[in-house]
Amino acid sequence: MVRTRQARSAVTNMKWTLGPAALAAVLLTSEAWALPVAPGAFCDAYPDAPTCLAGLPACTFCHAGTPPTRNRFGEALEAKILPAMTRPLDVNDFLGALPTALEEIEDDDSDGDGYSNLDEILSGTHPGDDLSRPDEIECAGKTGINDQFDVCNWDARYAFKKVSLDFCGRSPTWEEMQAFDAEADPRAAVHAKLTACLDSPFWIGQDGQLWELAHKKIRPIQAIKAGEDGGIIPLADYYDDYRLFVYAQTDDHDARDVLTADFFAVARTDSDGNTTHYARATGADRTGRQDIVTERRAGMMTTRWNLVLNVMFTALPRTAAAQAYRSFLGMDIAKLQGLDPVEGEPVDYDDKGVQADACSVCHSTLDPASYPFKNYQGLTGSVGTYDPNRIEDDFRNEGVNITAMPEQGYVLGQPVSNLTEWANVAANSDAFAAASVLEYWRLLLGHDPLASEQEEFNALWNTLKGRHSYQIEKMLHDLIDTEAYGVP
Amino acid sequence: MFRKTLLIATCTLLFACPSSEPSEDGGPTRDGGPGSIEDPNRDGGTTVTTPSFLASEKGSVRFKKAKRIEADFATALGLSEVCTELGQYSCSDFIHRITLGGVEAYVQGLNEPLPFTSVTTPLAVERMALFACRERVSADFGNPSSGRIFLNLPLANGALADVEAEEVAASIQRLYQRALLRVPTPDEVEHHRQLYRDIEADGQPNAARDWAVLSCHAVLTSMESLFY
Repeated sequence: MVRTRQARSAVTNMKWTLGPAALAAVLLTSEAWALPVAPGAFCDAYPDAPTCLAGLPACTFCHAGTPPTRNRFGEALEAKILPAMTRPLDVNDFLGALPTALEEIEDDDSDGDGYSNLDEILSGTHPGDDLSRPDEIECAGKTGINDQFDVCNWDARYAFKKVSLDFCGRSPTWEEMQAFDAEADPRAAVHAKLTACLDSPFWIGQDGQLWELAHKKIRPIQAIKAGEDGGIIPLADYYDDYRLFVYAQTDDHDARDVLTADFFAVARTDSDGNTTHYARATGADRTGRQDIVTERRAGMMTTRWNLVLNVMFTALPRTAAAQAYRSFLGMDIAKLQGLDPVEGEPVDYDDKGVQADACSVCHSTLDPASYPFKNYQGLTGSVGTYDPNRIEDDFRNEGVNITAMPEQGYVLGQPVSNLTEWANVAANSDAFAAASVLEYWRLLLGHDPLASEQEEFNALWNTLKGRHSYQIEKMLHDLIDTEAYGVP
Repeated sequence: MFRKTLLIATCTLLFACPSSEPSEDGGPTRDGGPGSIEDPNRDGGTTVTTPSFLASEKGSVRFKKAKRIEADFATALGLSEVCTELGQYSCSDFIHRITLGGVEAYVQGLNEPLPFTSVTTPLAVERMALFACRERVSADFGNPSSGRIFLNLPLANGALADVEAEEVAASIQRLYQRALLRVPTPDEVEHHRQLYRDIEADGQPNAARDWAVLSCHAVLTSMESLFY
């Protein structure tokens, strides 16, 4: 088996890590912040590069730190693009010159790690980072003894122990290992173990692995929690958010429910109080107070907790949109990820000065992504409700154009008429599927996909979208079959 | 004095580990490569060559963290409660939770584990292991015929009457099977026996009990036990 290893992990091939403005800035000037054409042009030149299979390169492909600072690859590339012409370059001039400039430095080794830029581009490593390099590891032909692990192949014994620890939260016992060693079909036994562990308290219980996976999406604050385990200023019950998240990740449920559900979920328990599964809440079930009308619900984005925490007192709920991008699409707009500027934006309806060059880079994406949240009450009006007159009633003094702010907006470059449509576009995107898988990849492997693992990673999220109909548990059965997981 | 014997135990067990170079992240080690290596143990001045150890090229292992460590210690030692501080605060769920890679989202706002283990992580692990091992040994020594690990040891005035006794080897084997899911190598058994000899030579009044606790501690705090 030949595997490629990176000295440092790098998720470079995802659209949501795109820094189009940043990459453009490398090639133009620091004043020319927003020109999202370079990543696409790069992928036109190298359509088979791993960085282009699931999206576009990240800003770090040409940048070091905060743009417009360039890494060595970016510097080499910039020097080859129409060097005699005055900066900033015209977009069309730049696009015309980029392919030739890329070709001219293909044989160079910009980062000095011993691999040419072309080799690195085609293997999915960073040509501007000497710690990212395509090391070839030849397992076949190696000699030696390892009586505990099959270090060159998917090792069922290793996978069995790992599945038990990852999903059940404990090692197998000596007796369980003895029984496993007697199994006629070890791989099937590994999957049987996974199936059993997926219902374990360690995995689905309160404060279990799935629950903890939701922490950074929900960002709980006990002091303002309502209901069970409530705080001193009870505003909303985030347990509903956790339960909806875990519901969407378990059994045969659809992972997209985190964005699209118009219902809430409850935990069902056995006689000992252990959670056995999650189910849609019925009228007989007790949930926290949730006042959004069914037709305006958009999963975890419209729970009372999310609106209280992320809309709060703002006319234009940018934080709510940014948090949704982070939580469900894996894109942090504040880090120049997922930028897809909308022409004519930002309008600056709330008079915050976001049309300044340094602001518009992000706000040309963020503001139109935020408009669909505008009628959802946070801590103003009737808390946690949908109110079509919210802006007119509560925010008239937020700017002379504030009442002209539309509910229509954009997400991932697509126009949407309201938040439920926003949720549907996002939930059906490649970005959502890949971000969903990435969370489990990180949880179970402890790192982002390496260059050698990109193919398996891409297959996982594509299959999640396709054959597995967004069922996370089926994806997890695929994940434990990967070399990334099962080769010691 | 107990600290001194703890040091002896640690050094003894470390010496039992195969020779290897440390990896960049301080994790498991990598040896090997094609061919064979020279065994540092020489027999009558003649170098003995043994096949090289075929190491994982990935070298990717992960710290078990609080919940898994507690569960594994509990299972290995047959305990319902692994460790409490001041007799009432759970080591893994409360006192050392963050240090051991856990989170505390609701009050502290720590929504994700720390990316690295902290300088106090080894101390917390050792406290948990020591607490649990003392519990196990107390139970086993209190009821020698029905203990979980240290069973029917040949005791005489707090010492092992015969460190070569089969019951000693059987106890070590049970410890390895329950904690590491494998049988110990002959070298490992001998190192544990040597640990006892060192403790006894130190003049400890309860040499057998100290040895049992420290043997347990050494195995539970090994890299093989704490990483996966």
